[in-house]
Amino acid sequence: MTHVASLVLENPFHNFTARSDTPEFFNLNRPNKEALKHVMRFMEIIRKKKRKSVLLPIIAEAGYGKTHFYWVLRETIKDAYVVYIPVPTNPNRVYSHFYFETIKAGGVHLLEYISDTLTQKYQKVEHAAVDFSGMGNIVIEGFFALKDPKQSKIALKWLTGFDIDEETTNFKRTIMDDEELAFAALKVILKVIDKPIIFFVDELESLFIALGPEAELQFLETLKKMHNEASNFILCLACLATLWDKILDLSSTAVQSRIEPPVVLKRFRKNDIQNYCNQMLQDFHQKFEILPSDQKSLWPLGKADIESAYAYSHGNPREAIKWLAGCIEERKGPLLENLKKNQKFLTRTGKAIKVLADQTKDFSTGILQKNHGAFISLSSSEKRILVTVPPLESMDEVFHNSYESELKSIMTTEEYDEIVLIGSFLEKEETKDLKVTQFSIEDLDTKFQEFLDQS
Amino acid sequence: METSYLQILHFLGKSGYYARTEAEKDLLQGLADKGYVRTKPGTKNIFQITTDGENNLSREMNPNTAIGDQEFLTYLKSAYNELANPMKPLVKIPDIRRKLSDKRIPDSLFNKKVLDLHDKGVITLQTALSKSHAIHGGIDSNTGTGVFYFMMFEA
Repeated sequence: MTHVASLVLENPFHNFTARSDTPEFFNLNRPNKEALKHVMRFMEIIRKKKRKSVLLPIIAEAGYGKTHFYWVLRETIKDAYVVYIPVPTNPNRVYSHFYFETIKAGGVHLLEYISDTLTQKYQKVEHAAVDFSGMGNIVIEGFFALKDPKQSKIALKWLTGFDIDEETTNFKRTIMDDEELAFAALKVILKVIDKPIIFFVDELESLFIALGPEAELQFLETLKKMHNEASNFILCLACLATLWDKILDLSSTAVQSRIEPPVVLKRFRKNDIQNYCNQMLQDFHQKFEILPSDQKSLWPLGKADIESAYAYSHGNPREAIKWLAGCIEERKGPLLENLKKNQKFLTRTGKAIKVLADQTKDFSTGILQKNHGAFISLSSSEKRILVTVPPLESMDEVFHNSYESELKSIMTTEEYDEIVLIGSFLEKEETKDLKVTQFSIEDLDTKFQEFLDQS
Repeated sequence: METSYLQILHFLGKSGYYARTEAEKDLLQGLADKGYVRTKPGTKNIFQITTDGENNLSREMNPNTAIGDQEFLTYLKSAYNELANPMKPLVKIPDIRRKLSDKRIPDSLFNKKVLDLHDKGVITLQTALSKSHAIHGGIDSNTGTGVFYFMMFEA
């Protein structure tokens, strides 16, 4: 039996803010379709090497799902790596920030992949020298060292940002403190990696808000250099729509000319809110053991809630979700009451049936109680009887489908000679033409007992 | 009250109106924030009406409330197309308002029609950074979303 109190306290709409560290499992196709199409088009261009890099702004107001779109990209695009890049707090440390976020996303596997590919292709570090001339050579030395058993530990430390001055003199510069070296390391990864990388730079406007236009300008110039000199990537720049104009205006014409026209994320329509509810309520329904009918697919919400969520939010997804969370909160009290009543009813009736069965005949009894009904198996040497108790009438509309489904499942796995139904109707086709006897709750002590005596 | 002051400023023309009390100064400063009046050059408290103010006055005095939905949509689309470009697909609502000032559509009717078009999915409105933008020509949605300040023709 499921514990009602613990279930009802959960609100499926409690989370209305996407985070980069919490996977988002739902994806509504329509609102993201257009933006996704743009990213995929550029992916194709990069893959075919028609262009080496793309700066693609993704703009929308707060709550339209910019961070959620990062998860959509991660889940949808399989021929690229998607790396989340929160805007750096220091505009002087952009490349090291990009590099370490990439390492964080790819983990040791990424370093090993780069190292393996380099060593397989060039065998010796000297052979790669021309392809990675300059700073790149310092970096590939680190990657080759990763394959050397004597140096691999120290190389791993160096590549992941440790200061190893005291441990060895082999690696004099550290990626953490050296932007030039970090950029070289980033370029090596982008050059060697097997698929393009989509860097999802979230909250582009943060530097502008926190540190002012100079910091934002510096950041954009750094991205321009990356766009010019590195290859094999798309930079998605997620930005608040309100500040996009200002950021664009303050950036240099050189930056402006490199940026693609922005993609504007779509808001929710009523249908999207309904689809979102259906997706989010799936788990909720499973926990309550509900197989909702089409009419009840939004339980405990209704069509009116979708209308009001849209009217309140004007299609802003976050505001709509907040509204729905409020609707659920409002319904928690009465819902809990009804569920408790239903469970008490099922428990009481199940126990009464067991007591009667024990008193009347030597039945071995098994009780299965769920939110949607109680199923009591009475077995004697002569026959097996299944006594079923559907949920209370007040909950019948919600639990009807799951009650029927449970009954069907029991009927297909167990052999019974007879079915006794306490309190409600049962369709004939579900009973495999077995004899069905029906008693009301009031008949329990009289007619049902007589029935047991005769069985 | 605001319309009455705009009428006075309209009649006074270039000579302007001298705000004598703090209440008058606040009210006229509010109108200045909306772009309807400005201080006379070289003075602190003498206010003159601007072209936007003249247009607003004309809207208020002789409003075109009979404008149909389709006609409004045509005007809106044309104003949007003039102001938008691929790099800046979102256009400021006050700029659209200004562009349509000769159509004499009262602000309340403009706001209602624009909100309706958004809710029908014809246009998309996006909010301002803060509620203070409402006084600068945004549309207060009176709901959780705050003040709409941008619009685009792609729902």
